[in-house]
Amino acid sequence: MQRIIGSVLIISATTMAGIMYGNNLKEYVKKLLDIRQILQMIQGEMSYTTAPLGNIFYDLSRKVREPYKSWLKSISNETEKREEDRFEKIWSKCTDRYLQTLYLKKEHYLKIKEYGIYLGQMDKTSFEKTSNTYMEQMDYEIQKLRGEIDAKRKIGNCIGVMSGIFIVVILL
Amino acid sequence: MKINQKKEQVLKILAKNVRLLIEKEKYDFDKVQEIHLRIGRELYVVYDNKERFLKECGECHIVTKEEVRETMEYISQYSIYAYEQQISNGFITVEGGHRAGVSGKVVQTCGQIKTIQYVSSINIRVAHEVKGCADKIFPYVIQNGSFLHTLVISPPGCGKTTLIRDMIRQISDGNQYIKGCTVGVADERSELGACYQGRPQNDLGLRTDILDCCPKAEGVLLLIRSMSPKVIAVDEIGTEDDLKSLGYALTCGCRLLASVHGRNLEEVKNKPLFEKIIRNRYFDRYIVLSGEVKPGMVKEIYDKRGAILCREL
Repeated sequence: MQRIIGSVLIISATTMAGIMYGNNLKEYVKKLLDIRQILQMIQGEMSYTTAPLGNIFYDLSRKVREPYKSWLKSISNETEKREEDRFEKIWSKCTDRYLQTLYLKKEHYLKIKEYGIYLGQMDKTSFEKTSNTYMEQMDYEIQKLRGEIDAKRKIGNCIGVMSGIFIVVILL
Repeated sequence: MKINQKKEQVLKILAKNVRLLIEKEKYDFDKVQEIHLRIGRELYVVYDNKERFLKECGECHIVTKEEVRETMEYISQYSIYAYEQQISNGFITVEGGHRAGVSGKVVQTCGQIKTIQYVSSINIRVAHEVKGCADKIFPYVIQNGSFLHTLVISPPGCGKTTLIRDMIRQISDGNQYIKGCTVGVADERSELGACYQGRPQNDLGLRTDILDCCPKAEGVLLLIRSMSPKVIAVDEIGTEDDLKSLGYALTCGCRLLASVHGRNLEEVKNKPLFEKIIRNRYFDRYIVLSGEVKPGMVKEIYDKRGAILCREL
């Protein structure tokens, strides 16, 4: 009886691990989608209100959840202080401070940091063009991840169950 | 505005190196008038009507390209795109009503100035309100407790905007001659209110509504339709559209306060556009300023027939 209970527990635990792996992948795409949406909102506000960046970030910080809220608010505060000679330094500093907890892949993390270079430096039309190209690249990344995710989730689930059975067989 | 607040507002828009040099001098910011930065030239401050060159290790500090770029970043809050319209007018108004005049390469689209690229020089003009400078004028521009249509005539730099600003404030708040009333200001170049993000940085009184960066002709009509002002104030009228809108304001029962460039009433009469409005007696009072002795000095005040009411106030 104890063996059966043990086997069930092992298989359940590894299956759960497999499911969690799949969910983490799904969650990762969600994080990228959230960031993309925020960047889109920044672009929209810049085009529509033509308010300075500090005001835009402050307004947006009230519309999003953590950690994006603190991220945007800190950018707004740093902009007001005028202590960095370029906006991209503020963007990079605040991204390091608040978005590292998202544990994004290095390539995605660098992509987000890259957006700071474009902010505030160009006239509206040029910025819109650059930003649109950036968004397209981001969409491509997200699509690529989505394509991979289904296969990876299925593999994760199978490996979870199979590894449980494998451990049980070895132990028995 | 407190001196410390003024100092903080001005220093925070300057490049760090320039900030340090100015802080070292321990200036009284009530006497600082202008700060000039030109790439490759000496940095200097106009202080108490005198130029003062800032020195570093015994030699005049030469402004670098990087310092001008950094200052532009701070002035525009890292958001050049947000100030395109102001830059095309040649200046940006910053918090506190201070103005950063910029010059460089002008970019034109369809014959209109779009922006200024490659900024090579910046002139920061520190705002100083002169409250009470219109005190002596009020006995001449009020009749039976009502404000008379007034045109201020002055050459550039003789204090006409400062005078109008103080008149607006006193009309709006009320004083011993007039009960406070609503004033609508069409501030096309942000000179009267010095609005920063829509909020006037100069005190224009508690009953004043401002349309910032709005063309005067459209602004006057908008204000009449939406804010029901008793007095309409505009600075530097000069186009046919400006005069048409003021004519409309007259028919709506609003009182007018306006200014125009000129050395005396005769000169303004000789301008083709103004000849008609003076002949038709749009204005009840003409205040002529002169900067010969000091800015803001009133040379003459005329009534609508052109008779002198007083000299040298």
